[in-house]
Amino acid sequence: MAHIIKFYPVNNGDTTQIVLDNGKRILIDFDHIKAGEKKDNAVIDLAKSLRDELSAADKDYFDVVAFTHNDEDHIRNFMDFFYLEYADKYKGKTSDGKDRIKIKELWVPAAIILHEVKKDELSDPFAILRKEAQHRFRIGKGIRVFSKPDKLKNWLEQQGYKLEDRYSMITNAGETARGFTLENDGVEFFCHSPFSKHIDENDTTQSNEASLIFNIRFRTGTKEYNYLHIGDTERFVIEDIVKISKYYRKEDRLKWDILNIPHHCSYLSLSQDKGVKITEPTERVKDLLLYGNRSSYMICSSKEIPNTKDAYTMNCPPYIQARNCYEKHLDEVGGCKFLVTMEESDSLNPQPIELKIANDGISYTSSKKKGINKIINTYPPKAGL
Amino acid sequence: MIEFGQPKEEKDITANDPMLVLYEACLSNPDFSVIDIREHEKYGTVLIVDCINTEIPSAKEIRNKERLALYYNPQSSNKHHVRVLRDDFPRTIHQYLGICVGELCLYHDTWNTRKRTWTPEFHLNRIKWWLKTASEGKLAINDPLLEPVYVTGSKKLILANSFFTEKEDTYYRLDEVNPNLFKMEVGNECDHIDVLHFEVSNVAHGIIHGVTTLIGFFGSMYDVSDNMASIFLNTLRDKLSKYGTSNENTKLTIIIITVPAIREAGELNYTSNYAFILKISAKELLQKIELAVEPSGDSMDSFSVLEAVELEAIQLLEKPSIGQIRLYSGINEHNAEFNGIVIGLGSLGSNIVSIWSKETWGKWTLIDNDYIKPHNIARHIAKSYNIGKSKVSVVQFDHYSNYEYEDSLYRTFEESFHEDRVKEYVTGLDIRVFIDISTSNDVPRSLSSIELPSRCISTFLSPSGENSVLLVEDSNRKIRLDSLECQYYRAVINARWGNEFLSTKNKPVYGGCRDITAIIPQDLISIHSAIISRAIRLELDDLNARISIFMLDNSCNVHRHEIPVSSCSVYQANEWSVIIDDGVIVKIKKYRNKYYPNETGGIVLGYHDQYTKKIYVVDVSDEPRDSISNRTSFIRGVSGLQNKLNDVIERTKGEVNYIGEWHSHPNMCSTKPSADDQIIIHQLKDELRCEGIPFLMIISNGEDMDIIVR
Repeated sequence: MAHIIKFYPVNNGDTTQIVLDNGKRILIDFDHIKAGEKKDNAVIDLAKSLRDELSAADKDYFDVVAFTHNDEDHIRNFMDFFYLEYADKYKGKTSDGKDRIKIKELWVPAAIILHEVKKDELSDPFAILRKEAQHRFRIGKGIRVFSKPDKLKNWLEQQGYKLEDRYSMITNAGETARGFTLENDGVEFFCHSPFSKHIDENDTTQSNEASLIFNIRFRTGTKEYNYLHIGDTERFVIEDIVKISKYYRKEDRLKWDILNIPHHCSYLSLSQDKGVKITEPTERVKDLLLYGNRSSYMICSSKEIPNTKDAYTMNCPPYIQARNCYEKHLDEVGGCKFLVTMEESDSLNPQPIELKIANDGISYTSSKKKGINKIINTYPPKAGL
Repeated sequence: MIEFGQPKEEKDITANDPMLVLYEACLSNPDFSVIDIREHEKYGTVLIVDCINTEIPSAKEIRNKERLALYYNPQSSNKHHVRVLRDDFPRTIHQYLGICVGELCLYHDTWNTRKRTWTPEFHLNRIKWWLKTASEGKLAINDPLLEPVYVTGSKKLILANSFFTEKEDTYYRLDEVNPNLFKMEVGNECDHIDVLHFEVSNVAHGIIHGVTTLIGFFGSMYDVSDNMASIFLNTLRDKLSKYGTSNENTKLTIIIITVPAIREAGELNYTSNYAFILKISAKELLQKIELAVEPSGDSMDSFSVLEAVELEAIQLLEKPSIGQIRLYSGINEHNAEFNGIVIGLGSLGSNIVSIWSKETWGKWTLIDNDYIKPHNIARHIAKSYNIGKSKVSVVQFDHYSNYEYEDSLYRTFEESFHEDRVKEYVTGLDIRVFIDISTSNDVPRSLSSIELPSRCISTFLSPSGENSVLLVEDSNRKIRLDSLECQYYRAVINARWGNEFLSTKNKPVYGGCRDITAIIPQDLISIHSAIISRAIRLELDDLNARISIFMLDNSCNVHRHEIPVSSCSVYQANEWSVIIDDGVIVKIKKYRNKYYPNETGGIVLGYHDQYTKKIYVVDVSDEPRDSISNRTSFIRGVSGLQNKLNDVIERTKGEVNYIGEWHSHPNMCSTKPSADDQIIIHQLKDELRCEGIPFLMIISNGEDMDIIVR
């Protein structure tokens, strides 16, 4: 009896799958990188890996596929993997002749439906995702939309529908998503973000600040464990979440046993300043970091973050200064380990970080081959005269 | 957190500090972070580290991150110690609770055995393993090397040997054998501990002789009118007086008389013993003798009172001479008079020596530091009353008990074999052979690394007890035990019989963390003791090196396999000595010819002795099928390698593993590593760092060979 969370090695991208002990599968984001199809690469062949897993479970669908936002590294190549209901083009075989994987329920922030698309962007992945989400929302089936900004109401009315008829498909910040309960599934998804204001007050092409943030609470036996899935979020959204949760006395939703490090370890999720050796988080972000429980984990979905001299001069994520900040706070709360997807993956056999959540807690067994095991499974460099 | 040691101002660790290697291993292990370097008044440098083990579920009492103190105690049998520092660390099994709360009991063997394979990297992994397994409460259940509940008891009590047969009113006292060992002994009213028990008893009697009365006995020895008889009688009276308080119910007295036999004046030829049973009590006999000499008149006349005292003589058989014993055993006296040393007097060792003792073959110096524990009785020659005695003294006494020739006493050393002590072991003796029956890898490796006056032999049983191995050095010691061990392992890897040779049929049983006993019945010990003792005795005159395997099948047939022995060479590479025998070199040449003119290669199998810095090359593999080669280059493939290595590890019970790579260079070309070779050496050296072992590369051009160790 255990729930599993898998964090797939897709460089600076995101794909997470939750496999509940009742067999239900929730996929959060999809980033299939073509390079992962080649050998000797620690990036996973995501499409193949997910397909193999489903096949082993005798399934051709995910119960939920949630796209936290529509940046490329969260939706890459999704239209060549999933069965999309809005167009026949995406119902047939994939480019490599495989059957498409179905989505029972699609979860998107309202911003994905409202995203403005220019004419020359119509065949871009985000535009295709928007069409699928719009289609499902229009027919009122197989969709859940997070937050209810005025712009959503306007859009519905333009399409000739009433917002009232779609209430059951909408989850607002501060609510748990319908369909999953601790009693029935051992899990609930509490929506921290987006807030309506993120969409109403902003240009709808700015997706990062309107992305999905969940407190995902697991129950196994008598114990509960909290996973804070943050996605690509900048610090003021995190600050809002801390402020609002405290205001509504929902501090328990800020606690975490697993923290998904936002935005591939960008310092901007912690502070405006990178810092020389270590990023100093703003007070509210620090507050959130200190909500960690003892023996907790931080999972960073990104490239490797070596602690070398050169790393300190890099100017794109992941940042070593941010990692230092996270690890310092993890230490402060008596946490266990900061895990990086690409550091844990093995070029011999790329595998996700697989956290097991059981009654006796969260554990992780590395599948990475080392030493002798690695050598005898690897072609060494050329020898000889 | 518990404070352990004192803060240290200088945070550096000196080059000769035994903690340095561990410190360096911590730095390169992502799951260990050094928090502080402290100093302990007794142990010196203490490393304070955080150990992360993500495999421990986060809600367990033992946490996925624990703070530990690592330190070194040269005085202890463990050397490297680990202590948990969290105040509320749970009390689990396998902690030395009595001595030092929170100290982890990581190993079941002693440092002497472990030092040859121990690496700091292994130690760190062992700590992680301990924490994880303990967190699951499985330390003993799934690991065959550790026992159930271990409640420290460094002090031990041994029951009196006769405890169950002694009378109910027997007094017992407690003796301190050493500060940690107490023994219950029969005591007296003034000095005893209270003991309660219930008992049944039995009676024994001796053999009856011709003389039937005490006076008749005197008559057979003396002329009763002789003064000598009077003196003898007085002596007898003195001896008897101490039995004045003897039990009223006693109706028997035993007299044993030792009679010196003198052939020529002043020269003692031998002594004879006579034993008699008198059918009266000692007290009664005394009263009669007192009467006989009392008060006046001619005491000699009073001898008549003894006429009624009946006695029975017990026959004491004369023991045979050594020559006679050898005659009975068919032992050639010419070959039987020599000195040898036996190291290790466990069940196999004691049984083998016991056979030679019966045969009076050789005169042995015995070396072993262990003592008899209760469970040893199952297979050792020791009896219950030997519990608590040293193993060497038991074997020495067993030998003495056979024929009781004082001058043939075996010499004993109650200590672990140590190469520095060899001078003492051989002092004054011309040693013909050293025989290791210690069933450790430490003694044969030690013997191999030192110069000795004679050849060495090592013998041991397989874990199931069904098979045995006999390694015999050549008389010039050109091929030593350690190389023979290598060649034996090559046979285990390649021979058809090697498949199950070292497999364990039963899980071992436990008497404590360092007291593990394999399940082997006495019949197997006896079979192999007999075979090995005979093989050594009959073949000791053969001067060649030998590897013999004895295997017992299900029908009780014993099959002997002789493994061809190759001569061996030692290559020096950096700080390491590489031991490689011709069997490996021939194999490399064979593979090379098979693929010539293309280059070829494969993996190298073997093991390391971290203590002596030796690398033992056991075998090399053929090239995997997916290797890519041409006349000047070779890329070793991976096809089938994992299975091959798994098989090697399974067959050798983890002794033999991957140690490096080999490949060929064309004829007449240098065997020095090329620029390409340097890259591979560099890369694989880095990869092996996490195992704590160096990388070895063999390059052969058909004629010459170069071995590189990095």
